[in-house]
Amino acid sequence: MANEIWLFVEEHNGELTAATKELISKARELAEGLGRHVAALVLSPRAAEIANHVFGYGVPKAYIVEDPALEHYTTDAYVGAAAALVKQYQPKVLLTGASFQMRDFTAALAADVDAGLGADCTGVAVRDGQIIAMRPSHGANVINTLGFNSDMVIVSLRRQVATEAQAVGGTGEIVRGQMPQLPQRMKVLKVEDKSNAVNLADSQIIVSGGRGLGSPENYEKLVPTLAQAFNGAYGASRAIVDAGWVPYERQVGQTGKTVSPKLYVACGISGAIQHLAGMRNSGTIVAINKDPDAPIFKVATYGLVGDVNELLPALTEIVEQKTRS
Amino acid sequence: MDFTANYDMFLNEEHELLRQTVRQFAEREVQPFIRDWDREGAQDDADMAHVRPILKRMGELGFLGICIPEKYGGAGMDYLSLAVVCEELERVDTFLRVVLSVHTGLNSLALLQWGTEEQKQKYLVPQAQGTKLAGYCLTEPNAGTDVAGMQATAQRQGDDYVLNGEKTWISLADVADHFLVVAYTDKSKQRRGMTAFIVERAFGGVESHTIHGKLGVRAGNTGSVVFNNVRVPAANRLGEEGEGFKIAMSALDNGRYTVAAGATGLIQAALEASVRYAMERETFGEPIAKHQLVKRMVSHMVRKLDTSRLLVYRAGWLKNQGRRNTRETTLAKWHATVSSFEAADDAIQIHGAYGFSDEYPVERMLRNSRGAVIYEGTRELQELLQADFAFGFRENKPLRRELPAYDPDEWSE
Amino acid sequence: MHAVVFIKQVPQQNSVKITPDKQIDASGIEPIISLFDEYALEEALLQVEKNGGQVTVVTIGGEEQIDALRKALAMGANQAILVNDPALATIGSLDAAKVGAAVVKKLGDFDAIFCGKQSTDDETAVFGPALARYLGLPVLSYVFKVHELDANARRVVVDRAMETTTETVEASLPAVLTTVKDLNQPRYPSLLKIKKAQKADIPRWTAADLGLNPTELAPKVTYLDRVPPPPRPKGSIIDGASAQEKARKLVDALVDTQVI
Repeated sequence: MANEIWLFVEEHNGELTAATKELISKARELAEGLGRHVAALVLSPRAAEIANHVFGYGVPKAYIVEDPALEHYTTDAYVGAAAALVKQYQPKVLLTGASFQMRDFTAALAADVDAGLGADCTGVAVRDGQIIAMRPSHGANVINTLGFNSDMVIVSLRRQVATEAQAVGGTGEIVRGQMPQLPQRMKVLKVEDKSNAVNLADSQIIVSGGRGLGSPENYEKLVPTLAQAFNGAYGASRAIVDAGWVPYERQVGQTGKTVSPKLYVACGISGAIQHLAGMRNSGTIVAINKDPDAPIFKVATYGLVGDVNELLPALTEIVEQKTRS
Repeated sequence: MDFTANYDMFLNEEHELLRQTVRQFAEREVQPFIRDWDREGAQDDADMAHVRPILKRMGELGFLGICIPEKYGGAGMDYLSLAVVCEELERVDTFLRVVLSVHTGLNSLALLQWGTEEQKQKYLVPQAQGTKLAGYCLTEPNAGTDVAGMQATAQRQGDDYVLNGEKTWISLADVADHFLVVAYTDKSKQRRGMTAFIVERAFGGVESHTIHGKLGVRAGNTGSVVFNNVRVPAANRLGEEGEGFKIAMSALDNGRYTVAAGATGLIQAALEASVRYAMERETFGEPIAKHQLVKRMVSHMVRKLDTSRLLVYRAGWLKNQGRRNTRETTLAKWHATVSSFEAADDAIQIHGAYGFSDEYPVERMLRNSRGAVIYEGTRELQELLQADFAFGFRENKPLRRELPAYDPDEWSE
Repeated sequence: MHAVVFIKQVPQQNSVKITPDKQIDASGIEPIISLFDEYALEEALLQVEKNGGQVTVVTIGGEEQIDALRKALAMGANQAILVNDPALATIGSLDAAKVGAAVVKKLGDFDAIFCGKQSTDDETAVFGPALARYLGLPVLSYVFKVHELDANARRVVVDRAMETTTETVEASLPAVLTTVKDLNQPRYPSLLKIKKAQKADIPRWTAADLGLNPTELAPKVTYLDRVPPPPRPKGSIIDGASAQEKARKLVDALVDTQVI
């Protein structure tokens, strides 16, 4: 069955990731629009088991490669396995998440199979019988609508582009692919969880701090505490990352992480254009700053003008009360 | 907009890349800290720990020997490059440019112009490489514009001169390794009795004291240097006996040039801050950039910026040709410094009450700009000079040694 | 060792305009070397300093990109090449990688290729991995530490920075590395090299020089539309007599709108 709509399946601790559940919904929507079928692409040493999870979400078919070489992501193994399946079964569309691994995977796969690629998109849809994709560029200052001239289209999608598919039960058909002969040239030596690591892109609530906090001590004292009260993650502006207060992995903005949580709380962040690029797609934005003219207020849903050193402890206390009650 | 565009008649791509490099340095390594350094510098017990590392960095990057030939340890760029460096440094803070003024403009270029080959090898090379820092000692507690009122003396004793006196308002007083010092070898001859010396701090009898309580340039080091029976070898006499005044004045042609270029950078900083703020700040339902009286302040800043820059570059172009430029340099210094103070003042006005606090950089610009209306030749002195040139009361007589013209080939080894 | 670095010149700020015919207009914005590319260049310079050898820096683009190459030379690259062909003016990231592969093949001997993880304007993050595939090489993307790069042993070991994990990966050389921020501290151009860079001869290569037929590079992706982001709904300032009151009002609003 050629010309299906494929989605790439990722799991974590035996569960489909939230991103994958969104992709299922999105793939189904495209399949309906194009009058085609949905299928999953599963690459894993435990692919058959994962495929059965996917069937439980109403996906009727899975193309899988089950091989120990797929334990850790390497471009060679994953792209090699996927390219063989794609060449044989010629899907119309492949949707993936937009994690770093998936960005690597889709770029390499598109090169291998000569596909059109929409990278890091915020939407994909069918218009006049054709696939289109929306992707921000230039620090979210430009929203591009992409069309495709190729037989196959690959789109990596950010989070929060569709509602997560619900488990409905059911079974499906497994199509097995072969693990191709791999060049012995890449080896994952070690995978370490980062200490205190948090995937900002996956967080529903993010509290970020900036230079207005005054000192690294204030950041450390106020920002993680408020984030914890919200049960969210915490980030930082480029200014204080560059000043060495906070490590780069927490930087939100154009040259850091791009996030779109349900709630983004910007504390002592003036709102430089490059910061806005990383968070302006958030659902609700709260800005806390003592300068009422700070550009951050232009994108804020709610603004609090005042001293972060007073407002953040007060806010932390009230949020804690709410979440306890 | 790019306020440095369209100066191709003076500048080339080399200058452009240099500008980017200095700007990146100043914005990355100074801007994030300057408010704290400036605040700290206002305190009597300030340890000013930032000064030496920053000067070391500027030396490593070649800024301190920018327009010194490569054979003397410099970068071998032209005199316009010196202006570009000064503009970009003072765009972030005046204290950075002051280093170029005294170390490079007043001291190193005087060595290039007047020094013997031995003096250049011994003093100019490490200064151009930035491994030694240099200051300039002319002003005394009772002798500023009235140079002849100075009291410092240097008595010949055998192969040495014995130097005594107190110099004040000396930038880098506490950190410089070498000083260019002007003192009387024969007070009866007035100006013609002055002689210039290269004095090492390491010679016994040199002491320095920090000046506290400055209005501006608080992030920089300024002080007094006291010379108490300092034995200076005759080999360290710069030029001939009696040539000290001419050397001091020719050095000021270079120092004032750096001050003028720096003031231009400060005007640009005031303008950029004002444009940014006026586009953001809204009153009566629109950005204040739409208000006519705000526009007027901004347009006047633009006029002052471009006229200052053109005057500076003209002086730099003359230096590149090896032509005397006292009139042009003093005009640039007068116009640019007075304009920079006015521009900083207007920038505060545009920022309203915010401009009155150090939340924004413009109040620091105002404080920093004020000194340059006084030092290296007061506004009033420059005014008199221009009139004297116009009336023909004053003309430039050729010097025994002129500042060498820029020669791109010879300066690159 | 021969390191090849691909760099791109981009607008320093992304406050670009969209022209009526849906092109990007970056006029009036200072052009710079794309942030991540500067880290790539610095890493190449560091590795070549250790291993000995040469750094070649390559840009695909118009004549205006020459400034980025001259800056790279002033930072220490040994030679620069500009691939400039009007036929390549509108190519996308995948095809740019195809062109890049042709450049690398023409250069011949090389040990490692460095590029930024993505440009800061188009932000596709496609070039590096695609380049590796077109050349049949291993790719190490999102590199934030190079533990070892031994041109003689033909081996490279790096840390890749993933969202929540750090991966230590070994690969054989030659390989393509794409770099993240803070991998190193990019150096300033040297003043002496600034002067030499202005005089350096930078060859211009065309598609024909690379044996490429531009019609084969017809873009697979087209831009149907380009618009600025929709304005965010107007927000409100929450007033209150005290920090506590403001905080309480905010939390009430968040609860009312079911944000928390």
